[in-house]
Amino acid sequence: MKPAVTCKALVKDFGTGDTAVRVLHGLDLEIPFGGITMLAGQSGCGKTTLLSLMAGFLRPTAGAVRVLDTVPDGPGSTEFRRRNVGFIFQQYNLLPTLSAAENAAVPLLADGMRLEEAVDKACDVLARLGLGDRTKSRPSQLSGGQQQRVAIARALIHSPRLILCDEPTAALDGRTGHAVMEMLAEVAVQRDRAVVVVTHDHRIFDFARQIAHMEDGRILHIDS
Amino acid sequence: MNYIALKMLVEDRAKYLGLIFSIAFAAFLISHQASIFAGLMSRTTSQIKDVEDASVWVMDGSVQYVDEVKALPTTELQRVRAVDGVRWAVPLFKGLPTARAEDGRFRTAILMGVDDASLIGAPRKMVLGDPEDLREPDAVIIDLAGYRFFFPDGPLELGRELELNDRRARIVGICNASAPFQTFPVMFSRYSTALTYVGPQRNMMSFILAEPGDGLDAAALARRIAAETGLRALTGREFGAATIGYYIGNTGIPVNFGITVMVAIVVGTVVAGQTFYIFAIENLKHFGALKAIGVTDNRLTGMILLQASLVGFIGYALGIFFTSAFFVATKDVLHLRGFIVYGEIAAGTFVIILFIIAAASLLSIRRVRTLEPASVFRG
Repeated sequence: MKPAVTCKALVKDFGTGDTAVRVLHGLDLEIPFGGITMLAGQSGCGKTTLLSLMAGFLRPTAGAVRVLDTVPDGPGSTEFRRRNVGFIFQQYNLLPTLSAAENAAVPLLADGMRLEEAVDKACDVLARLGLGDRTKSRPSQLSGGQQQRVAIARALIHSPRLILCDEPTAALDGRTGHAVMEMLAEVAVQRDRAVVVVTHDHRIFDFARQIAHMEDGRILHIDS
Repeated sequence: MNYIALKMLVEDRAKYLGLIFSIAFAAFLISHQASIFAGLMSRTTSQIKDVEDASVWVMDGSVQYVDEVKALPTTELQRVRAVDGVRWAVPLFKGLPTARAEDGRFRTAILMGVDDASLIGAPRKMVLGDPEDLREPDAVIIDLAGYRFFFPDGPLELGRELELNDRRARIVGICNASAPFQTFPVMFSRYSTALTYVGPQRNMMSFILAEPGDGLDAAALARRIAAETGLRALTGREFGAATIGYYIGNTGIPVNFGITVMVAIVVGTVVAGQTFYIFAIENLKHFGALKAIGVTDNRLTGMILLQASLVGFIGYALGIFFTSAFFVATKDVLHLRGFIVYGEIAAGTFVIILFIIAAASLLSIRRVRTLEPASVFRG
């Protein structure tokens, strides 16, 4: 089975000319299906830039990145992302005026599904994540851990083959962060799905199938 | 996604209401001021509109508008009658005598002296009495607003008396006349009677009213009369337009109203634009998340336009409602009667509100479209 994500000699510069800053220096990485890959390292080492390249938000300066055998920043990248990629953000980024179920349903709504159908499906997913009784709650009525579980539901609801998580436990205390990762590992990891987690929280390393340690835009080593 | 867009907007009560208020304020001010302006301009033609029997007005060549008249010699009446295609032509007097009631209250009045024989030019919308009664001695018909000024209490009653330039005038009818520009009472009498109310002058005939014969339209007859007599001849519509044109060109009225309307547009655009932009900025991380999830720029633009349209339509409806309510509430106030929201003004206000919401949403759309989805990874 081909890797979910392949990065080859990946270079990313920000700015041009004398002011250009190289953030990634010819990085090679393969992310397999069926587990969680963590990108670890200090702030500024290029983890988030690498995640943005995988999401197709940024275009490589040199080298190549392929996601699910597709160039993620190519034509139709928005639709590709909508169908195949789920996101979990550090600050959850839930819409404060929507209920938990409506928030979780956003990817389906973005893909054109009817509201009632999408919300029903979101309720099912939230129930699997232990939030069956909070589907109508607003984000402000939920704890940090509950909000992140809603974000996980939103990332999973459209059954994407790649889930990109940016510091999913950074805003949570240790115990809640651990619980969230347990849940993510339980519901997100599947044989035909890859999960990428950017983190510098070593307490959650146990959940990783492989950990790519980064420094100054390079992969120092990969722990499997 | 429309549902999300609407919930984002509606649930943010303060900005939602702020946006609606700013649009409603602009719509109210624009439609109200434009309606007052249009109403005032319409009032300048009230005496022209109230003459329903004749379609052509003939006057001295130097007359620019209905309120400034250079009287014609009576021989001009025969010249007009001699023009081929004139079915009939009659004199019309317009003067401004001082009217005084028994209790001493007085006002300048607009006195229309209509043809003695035919009574052409007499009012047709009677509240009480009959125009034929003008044939009685010293008879006048007064408009309802004028009657209410001189006799504020009690029921409408015929036979009451006024003095016009110190001569007795007996009210034989009460009519509904269009509100005049100066809000003066409007009175009608026979032509010969009217001349007795004002001091004798060499020429007394203010206008000649004419009607075309079969197969000739009013405009063609007016051109023919002008060509053959050297007088100015206009259809009622043309004379009304000339009168409005005079007021627009020679008074500060349109400038003052124009400034108010411009202020409404600018304030509406700035307040709505700023509020909407702040709304977009505060929701930027949510728009960024939606963009990251895979919502296209065009869809996000559609969401913003939907939000802007909603506040635009509600604000517009409220603005027009308040303007209409104002005019309904003041329809019986003497100096405010007759003002309405014209369909053209409602439509024009709608177009301006469309412009305001388009301008207000433009900055927000630009900000969201240029937003990098990668920004959502920056916490």
